[in-house]
Amino acid sequence: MIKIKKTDCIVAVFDDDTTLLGALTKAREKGFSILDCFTPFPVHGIEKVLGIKRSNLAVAAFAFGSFGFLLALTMMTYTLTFDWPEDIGGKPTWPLTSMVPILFELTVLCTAFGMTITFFWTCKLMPGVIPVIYDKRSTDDHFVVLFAKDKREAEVRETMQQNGVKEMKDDQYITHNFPGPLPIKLR
Amino acid sequence: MHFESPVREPLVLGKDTNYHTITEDICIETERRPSKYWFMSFGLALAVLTLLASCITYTIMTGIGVWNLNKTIGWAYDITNFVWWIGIGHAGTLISAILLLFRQQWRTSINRSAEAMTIFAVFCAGLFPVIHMGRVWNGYMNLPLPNDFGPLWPNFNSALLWDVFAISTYLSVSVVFWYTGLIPDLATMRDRSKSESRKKVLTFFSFGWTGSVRHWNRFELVCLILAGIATPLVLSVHTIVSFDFATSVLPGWHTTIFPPYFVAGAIFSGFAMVHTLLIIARKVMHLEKYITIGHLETMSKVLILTGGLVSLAYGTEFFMAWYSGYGYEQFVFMNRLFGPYWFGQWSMIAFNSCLPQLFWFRKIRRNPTITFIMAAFINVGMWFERFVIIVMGIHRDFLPSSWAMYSPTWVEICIFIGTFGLFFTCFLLFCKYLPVIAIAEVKSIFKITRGGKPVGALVGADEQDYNGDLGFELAAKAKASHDNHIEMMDIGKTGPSH
Repeated sequence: MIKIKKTDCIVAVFDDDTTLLGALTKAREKGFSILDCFTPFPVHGIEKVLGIKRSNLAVAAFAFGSFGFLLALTMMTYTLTFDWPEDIGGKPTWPLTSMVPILFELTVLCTAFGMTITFFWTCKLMPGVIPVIYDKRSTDDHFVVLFAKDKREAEVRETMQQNGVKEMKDDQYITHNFPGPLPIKLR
Repeated sequence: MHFESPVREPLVLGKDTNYHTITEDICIETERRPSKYWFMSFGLALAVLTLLASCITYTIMTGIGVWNLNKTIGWAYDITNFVWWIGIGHAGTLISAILLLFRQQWRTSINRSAEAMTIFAVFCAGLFPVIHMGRVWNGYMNLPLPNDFGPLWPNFNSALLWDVFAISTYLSVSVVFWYTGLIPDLATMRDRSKSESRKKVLTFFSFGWTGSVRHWNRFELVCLILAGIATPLVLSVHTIVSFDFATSVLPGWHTTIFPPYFVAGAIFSGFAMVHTLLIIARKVMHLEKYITIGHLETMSKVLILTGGLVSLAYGTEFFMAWYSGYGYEQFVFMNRLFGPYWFGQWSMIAFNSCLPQLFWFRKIRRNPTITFIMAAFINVGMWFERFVIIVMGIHRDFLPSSWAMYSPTWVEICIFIGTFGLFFTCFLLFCKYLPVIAIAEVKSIFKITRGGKPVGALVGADEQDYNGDLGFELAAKAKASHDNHIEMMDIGKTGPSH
């Protein structure tokens, strides 16, 4: 059953990545609950500040690559060695060395497609997904942090004020529990 | 913490540049009505594309007898064009993949357009082997499909089949790499769009990207792994193209040096083409702040390097022909120099080995007009290199009675010219409707390249300052401003680390 979850939140908008990193460091020190953070470009060092773990996509990449390799190997072995073996000047009917180029290409092809599709799936992205945008400028030149609106709301606001927030507003953080992308309007 | 010398040229110029102006400068071109010059060039490109379509139709309806191929010279103009276009299609992935692994930050403002160029060049290249088959409708027989003429499979031992796999993989992976990188920028365009319909279209194509930190974190990993696998891929493609020749037993083709020689040549011609296109694009689209003279200079340096590698390969081929003591091989190389196609060999030496030596001079590297002309000549030279290898490798074979000459017919020439129509139709559409510079990537290096300064407190870096010799005065100015800045700010927070 797909559930849409709405959480009250404070949207803190920053206009500089350095200020953002400073404010986030403070927020983590104080243990505020940060729901999400939106930036127009990958801000380096932010994953450390927020404690985001390195993704396991490399494992997916390896798995898809191995699949591609085995697919090519199986197919070529089946056709050249078993289904229609040909004697060409006494050369082996299982020519492993001349399989290398295609083994390589199929490995790369499957890695690229498999990993990229996994990436889109886990990020819940696909054509037709309507994103929830908390501040339109977050894909241009502003940096947005969503704090959960809990008992420490006043403290969050005060800390952000002290750490150079540009503006703050109230909103609802909207997520769904489906593991992949959903092409539905959440808001 | 990443640190960059303050003496080094910034990669993004302009005193008033900030994150917003980057978005503005790059997106504005996609948002306004195309200029009349755009319509004129697009019209011309479409006309040439029509020429391509009609000549291909004529070829297919009549058969490849309309080309000037003969019994001795079975591969000529079309395969030359194929290898030439494939070579051009190498720079994009090289810039975005290999330079990403080497952490070359100057790639950020040119990788998008170079990758687009790659994809369009591979379209053009892919056309040639397909129409060369003659019976294009049998093209599917390249694929290992169950079929109704008995269990007949493609020959996986054949270099030509490897090529089918290599090029289609290269094209698909390049498209994936390019499009994945485009998604955040499409989202930027979406959030700026004023009309509902434009917004809907961009929402669809940007896959619902929001710029969440978790997504960026995975996005960067995906780009890194894609770069990691695209690097051997880009090297493999031209290697496998060279196998088309090197696995034969013809003198002049049967050479172990071919794979690295072809790859270097491909990168050489690809960079020359990127050079040619970007010099025009930066002027027309007013992107001088992002594609700076410094970028052009760096690309010129790549041209000297790869031109040097190619020249080394030319030399090695001649040396090995002499050293092998093998008469047929020696004949092929003497025929290249002094045979009926001497102009091909000499123009390739002149344009690919001698001409790039001018890039040793800083003044020349930094002069867009001269580098533009030189890059165009390099492209001509690289075309001749393929012509020399392909046609001259076979036109005088072991049996003098079968010696022949080759010159293209009007159909072949029109097909070649027509591919420029295909290329430029795609490229002009790309320039008009998509961001030509990777907005997010440029933003992510923006501060670093300016010594980690916050927006609004930047080195006074106009293009003019860096255009002449980088004087001591400027270096001192940059240094003073940098020291001053370090005092002002907490170093630990000066900018994104790398």
